[in-house]
Amino acid sequence: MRWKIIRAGRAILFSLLACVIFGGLSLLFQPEWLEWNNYDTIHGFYEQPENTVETVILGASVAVNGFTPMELYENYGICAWNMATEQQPVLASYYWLEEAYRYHPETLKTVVMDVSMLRSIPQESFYQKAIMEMRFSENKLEAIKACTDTFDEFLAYVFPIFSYHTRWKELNSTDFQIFDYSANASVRGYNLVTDKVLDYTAYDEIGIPGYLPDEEAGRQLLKKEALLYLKKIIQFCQEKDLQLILTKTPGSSNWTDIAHNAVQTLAEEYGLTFLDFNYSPYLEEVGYVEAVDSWDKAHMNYHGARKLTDWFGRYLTENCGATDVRGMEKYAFMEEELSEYKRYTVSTRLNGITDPGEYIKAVMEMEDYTLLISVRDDGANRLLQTQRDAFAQLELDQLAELSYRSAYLGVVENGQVVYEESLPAEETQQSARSTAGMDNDLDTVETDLEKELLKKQMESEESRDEAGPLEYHGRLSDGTPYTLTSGGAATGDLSSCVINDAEYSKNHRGLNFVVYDNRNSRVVDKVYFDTCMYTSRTSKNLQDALEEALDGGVDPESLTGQMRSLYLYLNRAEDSYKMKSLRQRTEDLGGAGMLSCLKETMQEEEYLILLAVQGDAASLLGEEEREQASQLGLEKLSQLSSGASYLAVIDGGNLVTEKTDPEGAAVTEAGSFYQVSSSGTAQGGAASIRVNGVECSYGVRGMNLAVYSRTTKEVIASFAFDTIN
Amino acid sequence: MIKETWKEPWIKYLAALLGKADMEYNTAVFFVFLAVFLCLYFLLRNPTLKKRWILVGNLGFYLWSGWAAAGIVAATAAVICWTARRMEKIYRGFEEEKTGLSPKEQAARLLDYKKRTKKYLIGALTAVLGIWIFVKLGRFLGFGTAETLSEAIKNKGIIVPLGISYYSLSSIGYLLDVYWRKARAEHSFLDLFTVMIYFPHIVQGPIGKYETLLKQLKALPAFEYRRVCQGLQLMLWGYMKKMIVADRLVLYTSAVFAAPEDFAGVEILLAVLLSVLQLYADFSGCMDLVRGISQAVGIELAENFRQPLFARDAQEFWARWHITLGAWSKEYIYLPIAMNPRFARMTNRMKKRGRKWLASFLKAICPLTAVWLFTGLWHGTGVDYLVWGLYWCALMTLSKETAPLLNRLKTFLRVEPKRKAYRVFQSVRTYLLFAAGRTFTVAGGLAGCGLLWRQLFAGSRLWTLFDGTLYTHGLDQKDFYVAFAGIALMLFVDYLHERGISIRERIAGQKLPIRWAFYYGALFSLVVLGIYGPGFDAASFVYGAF
Repeated sequence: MRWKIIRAGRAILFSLLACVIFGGLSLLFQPEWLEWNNYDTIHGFYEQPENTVETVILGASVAVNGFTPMELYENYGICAWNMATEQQPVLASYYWLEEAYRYHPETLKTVVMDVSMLRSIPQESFYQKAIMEMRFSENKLEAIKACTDTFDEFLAYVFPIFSYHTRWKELNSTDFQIFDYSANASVRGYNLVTDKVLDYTAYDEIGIPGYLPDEEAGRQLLKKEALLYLKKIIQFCQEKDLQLILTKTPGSSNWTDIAHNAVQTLAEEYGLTFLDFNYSPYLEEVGYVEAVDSWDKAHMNYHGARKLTDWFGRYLTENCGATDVRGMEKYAFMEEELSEYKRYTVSTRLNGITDPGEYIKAVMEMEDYTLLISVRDDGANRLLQTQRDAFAQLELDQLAELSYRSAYLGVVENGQVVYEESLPAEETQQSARSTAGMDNDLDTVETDLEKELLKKQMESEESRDEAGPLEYHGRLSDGTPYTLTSGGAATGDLSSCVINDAEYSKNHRGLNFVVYDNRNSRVVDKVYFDTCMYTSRTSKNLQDALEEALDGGVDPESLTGQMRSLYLYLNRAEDSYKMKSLRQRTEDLGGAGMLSCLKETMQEEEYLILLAVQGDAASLLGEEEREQASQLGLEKLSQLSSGASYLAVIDGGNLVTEKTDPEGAAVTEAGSFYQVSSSGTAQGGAASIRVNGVECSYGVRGMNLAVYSRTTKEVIASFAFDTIN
Repeated sequence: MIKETWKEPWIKYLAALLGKADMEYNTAVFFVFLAVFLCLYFLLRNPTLKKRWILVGNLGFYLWSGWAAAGIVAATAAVICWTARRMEKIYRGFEEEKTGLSPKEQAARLLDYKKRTKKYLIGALTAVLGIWIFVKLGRFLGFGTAETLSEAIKNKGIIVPLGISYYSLSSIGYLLDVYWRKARAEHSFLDLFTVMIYFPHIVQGPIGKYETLLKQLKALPAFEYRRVCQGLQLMLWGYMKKMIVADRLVLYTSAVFAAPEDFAGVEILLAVLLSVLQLYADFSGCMDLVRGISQAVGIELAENFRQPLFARDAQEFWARWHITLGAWSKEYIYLPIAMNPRFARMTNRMKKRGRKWLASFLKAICPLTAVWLFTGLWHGTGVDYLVWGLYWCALMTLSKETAPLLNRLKTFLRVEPKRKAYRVFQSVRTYLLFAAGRTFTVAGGLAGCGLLWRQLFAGSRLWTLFDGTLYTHGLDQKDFYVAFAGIALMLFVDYLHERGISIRERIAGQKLPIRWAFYYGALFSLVVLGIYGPGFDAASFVYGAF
């Protein structure tokens, strides 16, 4: 009997241990899905105190990047959670909504849902990504039931190791960190992206201020499965008295008019709110500028997310009765999270600093950060004395004394300089290379060559001893080991900052900075200041910087780099919208249209207007038009006779030249970059407007018109007012 | 993606899941089935109840493959049971009569009785063989398989009862044994039916003798920790062979054999060589796992493999590989022909006429050819399988006929047959001969075989071993490493067995932590390294389609 009990006990112990090992392996093989913040979103959600979340955001990656709930709290006191995941199927959105309600039934009030995924059914793996890490519950089982129909799949969802055991060959260090990996709940599901601002030369129609969807374009057929679960979401919200807001984040490459029309019709039919930020007026209200607020024309970066979130904060407060929870005892944890969030997003504030000295100072003034500095190639060439003084004031003495092409390493921990070393570039190497004063003597060439080789050998031995990149091994205050390396132009030409086997240095010429958050053990910013070529850098908060510069009276012509690109982009967008609406209002109205078009464009100082008649334009002009033309100062136009040739050049509203020939003989006018010519019916009837060698005239019988902007130095529109009709 | 079942209530949904799932030894459903079956089985005390529970398990397993198939098997079982009993009844008359008769008279009487029983025997054999041949022929002619009778009629398909090639052989053996008075007829239909469709051996054998199985079924042992534990270990080992080695190798070999024209030289060679190991791991793995399960139940199944890769020649190889099939054909084909009085008389006459060599040659080759033609046809219905059978027949005859010549050559070359190196040489030779035999059938018939050999010599393509090309045909480098490690372990275990070491006994002799380390190691290496799960279509056991 005793033996039996022992046997049974052993069997139970064996099974228990097997379960433990099985569980451990399951965790090991479960992919981390750190991208798109997936891990933090799901695990952080479960860490929240129950009955706190009031607004939940559902949707795909564009929503992950588009809403930063912590800023909703900071500015409006709204407690929200961004529950969106990469390519989240609407099916998963629905079950996550249920999950959110399960944990926050008393407080949940509004549901914001991005509608991108109504159009597409993602691959199986995204269902897994969205559902697998949900806590085991009846709700999860329902979700699994909905998307599996074989026993193997069902088991694989319940025990993920059945589908992920094949990952044994790709396991890496992150997989093994699983036991001490804690969720970053302070971002509340938001995924921070900052460093991708595009240089813009082109833009799409969607996303231009004032653009409205083309209602006649038709409606896209949305996916049945997505619609089914949208219906379930709608029903669920009605049942539980939640307010559902459909939305589409701005992003021109991610959206189309037909998709908008489809969702809009749906929304109207079911009485839902649909806020599409790709179109007027929401686009302008948010102030979205694709060139700086997006990183790939589909996903917003931090700047865009901040604008959109701010708009939503106002909207939720004004229209949805959002509660301001700031100061409430129950929400005290949010204050802590907020300061965490501030630490996490510190780079967004540091991005605005253009001077290296100020950057260092800013980092030194913050609590519990370590700044790691290394120089690559050269960091001294363009340093100003004032900057050197500033370094000296911060007690970075060697940095203040940095010489041309020196290697340099510095570590500033918690405001204190803990390590500094520089290695000046060797002077001798440069003189050794000089060959001036030597003879091309065939008699002594052998001995010379021998000497030279010997010298080289000795030099290389020397340099092996002394020169070479500077290297420093240290430990951060949380115990993490790091290695800093710096090589000047002649001593390796590199910068490296390796923390826990990962490289963080931008490895760019000049000063390379890595900022490490000691409290949360993570790198929060990595930047460079190319002090070999420039004394300061361009602010990464480009839109703010541009506004500041223009307000400060900087001549737009002298803008460079990304600032110039952005300036041009903004102007182009503005011109493009103006021209588009002008065309809609005038082009089909014949002579009257032509004159109102002229009148409007002549009001702009930056525009150069080029006019050329092909064949005949007199029939466009009635009494009224001729009078208006003369009011505009276009005397020859007001008296244009039938079959006459005509051209005009108007610069910033002032007439430069106006030529006509009543017989229709060809007239031409050439400026520094343009050429205009016109001939009447009798003489061939041709019109040409060439700007920088490119033909811009439509070549239509009647009046041809091109508008050139002096700001962007481009032809922004061509018009044609024909006499055929 | 949303699935059709989204709307169903849970019960219906689960039923649909189970209904769709295949019942094979390496599917999740089988694990669930086995766990439920064994747990309840171990709780039962009453021997009759245990027997019936096994029958219930068998039916559960068998019915998964369709009602119609189960009906055919049940009918076959009824015919066999009835015929055997009938024959025994007739022989009982002889038993009563024979007392007091002289042996000569007895023999004469027996002939009489045999004639009477023969009618029944032939009737039953016709039934069993008829169904079997019908199925084989149907397959050969390319009919699809159907699950129900109406489906079979509508789609012109054939119903293939699960394990027909195995239970047919066993049944024939049983009938003949009863006819030859070597075995007694079973009176309980349920018991006979139970052993006939006993789920551990119904799919791939071993081809057991019903008499031994029935004897064990009637005396099922009580739960014994040691036996069950060892049975489960054997099962685990079988799964490891199958899921870690065989299913991994098949990814490469099937890629090559599916399109031999895309490969050449060393790629083909490797595929052919690996296909032997793959087949071995697959088939012997399955045998280990079913024997393990059966051992846990308390029924010892016959051994089907005895380290065949250590065999020195073809003869020995087939005595170690698929032993039960060889034993069956020896008992019911080879011996009946060789011992046939007419055949013996004929060869004797030849001998007397001075054609000594021809007589002995015929005596050897006739039954052998019959056995190998049968073996070939048993494996498959195409011409390629016939050729494959003849290939083995020829090999065996050749090795026998040239033995004196070879012996002289060996003495001339001073080869020491006892040397280890020579033993290894012999094993490798046997391995290569088997591999060559595989080429007849693996690439889809004789045309594929020709293509395979042509491609083998079309170019060396040695570089594919080094530039990573090898790892792009379904198995990457890491998978190859795992497969080779598995093969090495498999051969090492075989080596230990060859030396007479019982590994499970050795493990049992260890301290608890070491024992458990073995168990956990086996279990979780299977979970991690096994080839299974969604996205992977579990390769069914190679011999399961017979």
